[in-house]
Amino acid sequence: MRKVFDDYRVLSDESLKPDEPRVEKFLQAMKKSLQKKDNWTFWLPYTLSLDTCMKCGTCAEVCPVYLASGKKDIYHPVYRSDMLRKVYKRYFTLPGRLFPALVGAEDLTEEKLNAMAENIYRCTICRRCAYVCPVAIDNGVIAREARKIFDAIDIAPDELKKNGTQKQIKFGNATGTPANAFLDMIEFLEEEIEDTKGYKVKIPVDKEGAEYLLMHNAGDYLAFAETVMGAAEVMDAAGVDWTLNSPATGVNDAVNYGVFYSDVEFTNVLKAHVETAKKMGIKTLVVGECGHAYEALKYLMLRLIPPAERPFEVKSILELEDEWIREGRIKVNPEKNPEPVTYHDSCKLGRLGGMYEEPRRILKACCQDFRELTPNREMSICCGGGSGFAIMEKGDFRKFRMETYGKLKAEQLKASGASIIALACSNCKGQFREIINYYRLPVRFAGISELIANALVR
Amino acid sequence: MPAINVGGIEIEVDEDGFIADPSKWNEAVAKALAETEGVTELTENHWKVVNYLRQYYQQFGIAPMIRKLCKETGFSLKEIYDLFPSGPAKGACKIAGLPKPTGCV
Repeated sequence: MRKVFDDYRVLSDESLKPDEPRVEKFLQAMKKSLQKKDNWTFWLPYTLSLDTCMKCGTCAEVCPVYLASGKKDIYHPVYRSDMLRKVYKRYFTLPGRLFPALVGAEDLTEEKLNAMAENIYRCTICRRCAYVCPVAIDNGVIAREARKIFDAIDIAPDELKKNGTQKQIKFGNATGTPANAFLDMIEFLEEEIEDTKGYKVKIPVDKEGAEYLLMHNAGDYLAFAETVMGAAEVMDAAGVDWTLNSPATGVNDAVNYGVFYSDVEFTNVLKAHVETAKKMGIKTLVVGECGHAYEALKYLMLRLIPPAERPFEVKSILELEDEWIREGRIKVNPEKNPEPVTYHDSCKLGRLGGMYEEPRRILKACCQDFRELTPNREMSICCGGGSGFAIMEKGDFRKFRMETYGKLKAEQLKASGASIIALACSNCKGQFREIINYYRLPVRFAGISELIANALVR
Repeated sequence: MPAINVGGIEIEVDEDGFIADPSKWNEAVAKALAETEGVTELTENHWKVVNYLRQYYQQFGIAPMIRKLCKETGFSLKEIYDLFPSGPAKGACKIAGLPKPTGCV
């Protein structure tokens, strides 16, 4: 694949089509994105962010990619936003149409389009920059809107579209797990709990009318089974009426990669989630340990589905676990987790969702030696797995993830002295698995539910 | 589409280096795929993992859970990484001729 921006490529030649004319189509799609009636998600912050940037550079001082790259210009958050902003000014503002050079407006070329398509996938949309911007510019929203425009002209990473949202709609989950394989997994997990913990836990599947439908990120079954087992133990210990669901009921994967790149794809997946929950007649949809699924189901859904059409509540599993520990519904003993444990704030749960205290209360109750990473909470550094990066590794992209976000995170983790990093998001788990390997850290990662299950007093 | 050469025959692979048509897999193809992963020799332990992956895939149409792979082969995850440096999903599955695992794995 030829170089179009830097030494990496996220988009294959097949999806980027770098030698075809696409500028006209791009401008048409962009025009649509600027019209309020055609852009239900973040039209206002998007257009304001395009209009108002003072170029003060505050954002760059907190951007993990920019800092870890040794402050390379091409990774400056404003450089990235300006790729779209220059097009906006040139084609969609009067001064830019009349006097482009005076207002920083530039013609869009096929080469610039290639570079922009790649650069919007050098940012995980962690929105640390948005948190510090003195005039509330959201570079994350600009990157996402740019991804949407590219998707509208059919340019999107295969991992997110062809093998992501579209596969999820077809198979019920992005992993392509059929129902018989799912049931085989559940049986195996029940055996594993019995083998490792010495007690039996029944994992209910497809129980209609249950109070709680727990929907995990389906990747957790394959790659992070300890989280799924831990959650089952917690549900069982709480004695609640709960169920998992198989793909026979519809969608059984909490993910919605549309959050990362497309409102159209987002809507398709979300509607399938809602249909599944309604069909099963459950009372609360519990989102497993997955950051972006929480954004989709807890927040974005409110904007898209009228209340009458979603007759169920949505909660993160962390909210329930925290509640149950506090009210004594489940009993935990921190001595059962004696090792030093730290917590990494997922961008979607933390900075976006405001869920800072729940995981901390849980971990302090369940672990003897809880310590913070510095910085944390609002200023937490993204791990580099966000917005789908954890599953993107065409060419040398894994190296990009490791040498930017991963490098900062590894330093932070080492400084904490913790031997366990607690994670509440599947993308974070995928990324930390690689960070720990790449930097040979004497650390293991664990899901929150896994640590609670370790501490359970039964 | 890119391809790898197996004894003079071109076997097509996707952009991630996974076999395009899993039915074209055989032991010689496995060896050629292993080389693309920097695995120069396929030992008995490699075959144990590869054979289990293939058996599971043929039965269920997807790769097994990593935890199940470890349990059934008797290898810890670290040992699997020692055998297949890019890990179970990207390394072992590729050599076993499975399609690239998708979703958040």
